[in-house]
Amino acid sequence: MDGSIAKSKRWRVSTLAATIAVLVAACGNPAPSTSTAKNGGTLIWALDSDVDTLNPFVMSTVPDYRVLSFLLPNLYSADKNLNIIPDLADGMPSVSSDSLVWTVKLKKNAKWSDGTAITADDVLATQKIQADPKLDTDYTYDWSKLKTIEKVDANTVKYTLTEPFAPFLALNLFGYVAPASVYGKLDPAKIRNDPVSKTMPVSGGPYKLDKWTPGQEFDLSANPNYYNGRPHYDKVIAKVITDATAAANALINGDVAWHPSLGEAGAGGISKAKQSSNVQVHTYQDLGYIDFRMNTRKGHIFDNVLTRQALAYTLDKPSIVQAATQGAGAPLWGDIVPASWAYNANAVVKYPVDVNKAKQLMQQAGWTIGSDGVATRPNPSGSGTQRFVGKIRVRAGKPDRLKAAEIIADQVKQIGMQLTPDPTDFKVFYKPIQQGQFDVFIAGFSLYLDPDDYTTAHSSQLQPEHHEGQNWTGYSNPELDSLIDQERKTVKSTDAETKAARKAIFDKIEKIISGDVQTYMLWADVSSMGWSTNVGNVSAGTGDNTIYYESNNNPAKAAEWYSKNGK
Amino acid sequence: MAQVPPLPIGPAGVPGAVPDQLSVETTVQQERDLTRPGAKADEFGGAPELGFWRLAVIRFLHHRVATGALIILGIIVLSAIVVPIITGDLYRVQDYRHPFKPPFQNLQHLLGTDDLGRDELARLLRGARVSIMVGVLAVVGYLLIGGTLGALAGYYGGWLDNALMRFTDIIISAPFLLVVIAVTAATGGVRLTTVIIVIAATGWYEIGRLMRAQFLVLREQEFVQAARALGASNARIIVRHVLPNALAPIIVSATLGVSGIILLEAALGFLGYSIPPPEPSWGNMLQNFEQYLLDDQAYLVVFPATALVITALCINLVGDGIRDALDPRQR
Repeated sequence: MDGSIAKSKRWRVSTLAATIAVLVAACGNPAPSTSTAKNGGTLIWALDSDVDTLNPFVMSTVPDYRVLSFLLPNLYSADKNLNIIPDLADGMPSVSSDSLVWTVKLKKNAKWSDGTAITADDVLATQKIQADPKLDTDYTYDWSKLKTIEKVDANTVKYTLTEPFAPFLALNLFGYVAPASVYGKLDPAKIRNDPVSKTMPVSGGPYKLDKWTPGQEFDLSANPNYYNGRPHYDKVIAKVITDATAAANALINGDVAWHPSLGEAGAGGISKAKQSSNVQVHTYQDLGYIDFRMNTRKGHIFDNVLTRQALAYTLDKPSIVQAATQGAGAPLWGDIVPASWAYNANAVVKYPVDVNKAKQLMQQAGWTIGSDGVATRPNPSGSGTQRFVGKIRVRAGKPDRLKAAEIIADQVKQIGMQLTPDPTDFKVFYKPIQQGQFDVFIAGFSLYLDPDDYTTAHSSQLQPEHHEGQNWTGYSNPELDSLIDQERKTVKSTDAETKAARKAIFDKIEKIISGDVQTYMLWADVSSMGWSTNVGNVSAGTGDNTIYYESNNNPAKAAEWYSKNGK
Repeated sequence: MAQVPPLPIGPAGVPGAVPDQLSVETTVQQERDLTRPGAKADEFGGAPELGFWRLAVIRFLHHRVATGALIILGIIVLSAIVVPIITGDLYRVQDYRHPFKPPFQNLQHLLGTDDLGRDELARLLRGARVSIMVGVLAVVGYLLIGGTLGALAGYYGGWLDNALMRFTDIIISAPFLLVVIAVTAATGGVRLTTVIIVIAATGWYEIGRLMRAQFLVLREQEFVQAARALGASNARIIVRHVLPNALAPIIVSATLGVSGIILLEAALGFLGYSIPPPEPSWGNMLQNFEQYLLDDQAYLVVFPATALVITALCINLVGDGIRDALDPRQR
């Protein structure tokens, strides 16, 4: 279902870097009938960019999913701690003892907005389209571990997998269900341009679509048939406001009541919003990170683990992150972010600043600092010498990443590394990296709910050595491979047991990744959302920087929001 | 001096210039001296008439706004050249743990420091170098490409004119930003030389067309026909007779072109297509600090923006002054 691009990580395309790819509709829990919550009013919110399509199968950007999340139900959603919770499903899936058969039951009373029942047929139709290799979409759905999908009865679906696959719940069962009556008869290869992509005739989420004015706004109204009960707002209007600062001002002035990408307005925009008495701001750990990814292939400057460790010993990560992000990032050592259930701050190797040690390591790795301050070594591929000179590829128009690149370049001069920041437009950023032709690049990754890092760390995912994958560094370690394989196959009868068993393996994985500096992690994204104080029942994190706000993965939480003054 | 008047355009090869601007009373001798660019009046014993270029300088100096602008511009250019030599690497010395020192607080960082704790004044002047260098070099490119092609098209006419003008049409319709992105991608990254070459290669058409128009008019003038009748080669006629007469509008256009290019470079820098960091340019300074526009650190945007506006304005005013000085008919 949802499926973020590729198997677990997707290249960050959207400018809304800090948000996860997948949101989808429909609330996990029935709206709590708090005594103060009342019906009525209109929720106007700021949508960061116009939506390309209303076809859930074609959607690939954050704004797309933000709109979709009001319209379609989720089979499974996530709570504020990113634990997966049932939504349309009735309880967590049951898993057979050989971990190969997953069975999901659906809520019996659920209805689409046209009054027809939501059944196993809808789930089957949705997932068959997602799994169809001919599906024309920018999103990469990965159903490769699925052998068969069967309808047991009107409310039960059975999945048989080819091998035990722990991420199945988060990767495949998490996400939207679309009405078979609308999409079931479409050819997946031609689905993109079907007229239905411009509308949403039947919805099953808390709201239904009244009108879409492209480039301007979406008008939604409450879905009276919503299976969790009628949402509190009568109407929801999503206004396209592409400039995050303009949207922040609109929030402060009371023109919009929700600004989901407030973080894009920068530290200044956030602090202005926080100062306003009309606004409640929630800052949370997001599912994304920025890292400094070195080419570790033989003959490249960072081909030796000692040079990578020397770099780590030279950099004062916390102060670099603070200077680069102004607080919108949390220093990170492993590739699992604090927002994830698998995060363990004590599992990683943290390199303290020790420049002398770094210089020693450079020497041990065979590099000698010359009179011009640049390290050299005998050329590994032939005669002559190789100088420690390289470029840091960084996306143009990303000041925080560029700042990090500039500081790093300046700091590592003292150990003989001459690195130059090289800002490059996104359109041409990716290709040399896929071809293995780079020294270092600073990249942003949006993460999937599952912490599995198969695509960026497993040696079967090396690119260009293998056809696809996102392990661009050339790093290959059999021990790491077997740990990742093991973690992916660990499936217990309950989600909690599975997590506990996998977490122990993830700890070992993180130790290798941070210890070997498989990639030099910089920071985990910290994002911010803002609401008008008139919006009630906003149950964001209890403290700053601790909890991932649930509406991103369980946006039908918005069904619980209400207008305090009734407008 | 020989009393026998030489031919207006003699074998001595004195370039003729702007005959239509000279009074009919002048003797041929005077005309010859007068029309020599840079001729000094006292060379021929206090001639009553001043040289064309000298007159232009005088006219320019009477234009107070233009003179003032020239002085300010001179100060900017001079400090952009001299100060970075003295301060050396100061523009790239970081103090990233203590960034954003406010301006006008201490002499060590007169204009404060930026997001990485680098001296803003040093970066501003270093950036001025980049901006002015790009402006001047790209205009030289305009002159070389546009000047040559325009001159050839205007002088020879016929199929060559047709071909060159169609080529110009192609250049005019080239999508500049796409060209920059494509060339940047093809050459493996952002480089200042790339930027200069692309600006020069895509922006010369205005000067090209101007040059062609000048040559179309001038090639029919009597002094050109006279030169031709005397057997001067085409190359000689173009370089020594037509070109000097075509220069005035070209100089104005080139001057105004410099400010246009400086703004263009800033726009490119703003999009991340100018000089790569840590080298500053006004454009990339604006880009990096746009996010602070509404904050206490707005000075990081205000300084480069002000520098940019002042420089472009001064160049335009100087350009206006030059135009007035070179073209008495406008007065």
